[in-house]
Amino acid sequence: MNTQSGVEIVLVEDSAADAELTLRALKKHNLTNHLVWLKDGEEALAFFFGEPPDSLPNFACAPKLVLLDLKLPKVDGFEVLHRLKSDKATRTIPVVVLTSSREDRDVAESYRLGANSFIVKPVDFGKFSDSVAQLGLYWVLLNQPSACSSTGLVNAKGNP
Amino acid sequence: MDEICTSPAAFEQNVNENMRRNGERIWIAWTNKVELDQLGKVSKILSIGVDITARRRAEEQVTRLNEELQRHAAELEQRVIKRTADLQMANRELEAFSYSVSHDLRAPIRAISGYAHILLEDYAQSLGPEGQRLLEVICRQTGFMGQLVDDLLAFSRMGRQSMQTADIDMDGLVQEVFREQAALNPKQTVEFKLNPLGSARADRSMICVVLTNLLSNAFKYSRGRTPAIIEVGRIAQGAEDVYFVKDNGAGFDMKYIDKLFGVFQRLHTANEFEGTGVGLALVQRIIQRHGGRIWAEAKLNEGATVYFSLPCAKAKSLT
Repeated sequence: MNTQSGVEIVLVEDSAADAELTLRALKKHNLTNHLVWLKDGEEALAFFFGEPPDSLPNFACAPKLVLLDLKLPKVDGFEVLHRLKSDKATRTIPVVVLTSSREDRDVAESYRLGANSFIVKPVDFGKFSDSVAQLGLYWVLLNQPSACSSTGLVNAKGNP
Repeated sequence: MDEICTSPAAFEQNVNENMRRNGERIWIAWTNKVELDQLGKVSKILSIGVDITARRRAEEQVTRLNEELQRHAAELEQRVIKRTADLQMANRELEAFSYSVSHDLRAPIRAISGYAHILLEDYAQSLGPEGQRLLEVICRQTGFMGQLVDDLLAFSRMGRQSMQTADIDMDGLVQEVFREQAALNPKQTVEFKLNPLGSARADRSMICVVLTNLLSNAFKYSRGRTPAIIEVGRIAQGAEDVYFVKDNGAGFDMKYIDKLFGVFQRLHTANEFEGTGVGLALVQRIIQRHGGRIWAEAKLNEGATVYFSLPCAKAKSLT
């Protein structure tokens, strides 16, 4: 399995509206071909650490970017962030917290847990699109990720 | 009597309650002198009585007042404890409220703004010019609503944020903020007069918010002037330094001065000058947290001057 068939962006977002707007902004820059949308923290944990449902594509390489909302049903974003950053197999995956919250304590807590970036979703659609597109372009095209670490990931269903 | 004989000193002073003929009760303090005969028996007792009723009443009153005072103090302490708890609770509620505003209110506004824009981008043709105009109004208004929510959050955050005081180079800070504002208003020709400001002891990021708001207002309200003249200066006044930001712009009628620093209060329509009416309320809150004062002078169509004071660096270091 090569990177091309793997997942590049994982979007963890419970709001369908925000997800659609995010996808639209990314699509304008052809960044949605290898994108997975997970609707809550539980799905995110299953995707990274458990047996993912068949409906989800599996991945061999670590994604280049996780876009993580904080306020999520069942398991919240902090918990997902904590799990991702405390596991050897996932800790190098860039996690960008993308949330409505501007609370200082959320920003502080996110960085404490190891977030790579913290972006407040702008209310204005133009600004929102620009932010998401910039994020996608930077992390997926510009940023050099850590070497492909397929071995450590539990749910690499294909080749080990 | 035998006791008096053996220890007369113990009976020298005594106080008792007596009744006058008219029934009035009085307190008498007695001084007694015993005279013994040759056999050592009491022969005479010489007693001098002083009416101490008034003194005794006064003493009783003092005791009563003291007791009352103690009770009040205890009550007061209880009240302070309760009020503090109430305040802490109110603060926590406010915090929870602004937290949920930031989370829950921003999301639907973003959705409305986003979907309206998509409609405009993808279906402009089939909507026709009037349909497009209506949608543009929705987009503009949701943008404004988003700004309102953000400003309100900034305002509530400012009240809770802890202050970090340091020595600030006010000249440098004003120049920095002015450059930012000039870059945001490239079409405007502004004559900028900066008088020496010296240094201040305050929270740098908060004072930066103050200057940004005041200078951005100066730019905004002098938009129609050629040239716009903006002046920043300092007046030393004893224990405080008074700073001012002056412009030659639209100004306002002084009869509305009471509204100037209120939240959501505006003295201009959105058509004349855009804004949410939070800026100066925020500025006032910051200045008050620093122990300073804020006020303004203006004349309609001739410009406005906003003054704010900060306790001066020296005076503050003494306390």
